[in-house]
Amino acid sequence: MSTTELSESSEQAARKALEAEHAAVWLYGLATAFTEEPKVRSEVDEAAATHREHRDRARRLLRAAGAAPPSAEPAYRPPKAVTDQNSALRALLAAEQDCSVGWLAVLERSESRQLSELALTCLTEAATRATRWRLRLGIEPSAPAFPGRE
Amino acid sequence: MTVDFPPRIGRDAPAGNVDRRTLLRLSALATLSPALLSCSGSAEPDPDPLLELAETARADAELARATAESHPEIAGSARVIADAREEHAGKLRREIDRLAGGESTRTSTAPSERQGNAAGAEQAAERLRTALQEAQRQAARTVPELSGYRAGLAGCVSAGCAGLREVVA
Repeated sequence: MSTTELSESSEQAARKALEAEHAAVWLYGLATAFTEEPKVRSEVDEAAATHREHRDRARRLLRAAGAAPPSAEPAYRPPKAVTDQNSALRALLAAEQDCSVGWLAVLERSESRQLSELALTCLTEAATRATRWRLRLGIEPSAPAFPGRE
Repeated sequence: MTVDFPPRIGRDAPAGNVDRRTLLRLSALATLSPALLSCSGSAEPDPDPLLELAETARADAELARATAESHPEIAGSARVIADAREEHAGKLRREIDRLAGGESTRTSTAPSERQGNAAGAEQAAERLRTALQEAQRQAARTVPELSGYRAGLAGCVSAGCAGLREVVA
């Protein structure tokens, strides 16, 4: 594995993005308890697995660069109380938006190809899932033109 | 090119050393300069990589507008796509113009050849999906060539197209 050093600003951005991934992993875990439809449940499970993968990749990348990756908090507070499937999906939408913002910031500061590729993958997946949740929740516009900047 | 030095003679060795270093430095420069000259000679500015992204965005917006008119069943989704792709084209254009320093780099392309009236709404939706997938990949390919705000912008357009595909999924 390459041990490319990161500039201070790109390391900072990568740490923030990883924190957003930690929060997403936690919130997806919470959301599974509130899914009512099997279809939603399988979408939530799939997304949760993707976030765990992104979290692990971000962690490895930071370690390889000689930076200490931030660890997860014991719990996270969703913007609004989660009481049913809809409120759970709203919390997930917020988590995806945070991930988009975090990874876009990495993309804008990244000097290494590896980090830039990871950032684009994570940004793309977060944008895709955010749109999926918006469509399910009936939120418009369902697909913002510039994810991570909305 | 090789430079021959007289054999070193004990007595004036220090002075001889300095001269030699200077000479080496000069000869190194001499071999480099033709390469440098030829580099600056063929200075033709590369086209802004964002240009083709802006053009694709505009073509997609046209395609989506036409789809909205010809296929009322998917008009709502098509309009979301048209609006977003227009926003992409506008923002990309502003960035292209900013870098060009007010110089207009506008290249007008013929109206999109992707148009054409497909039979069913499903076919029309498929065409939008294909266009968005191509646009997503095109923008993603551009990211490694860019940095800073521009890398973010291209990445954002790519991710935006991925999100838009869900609208006609």
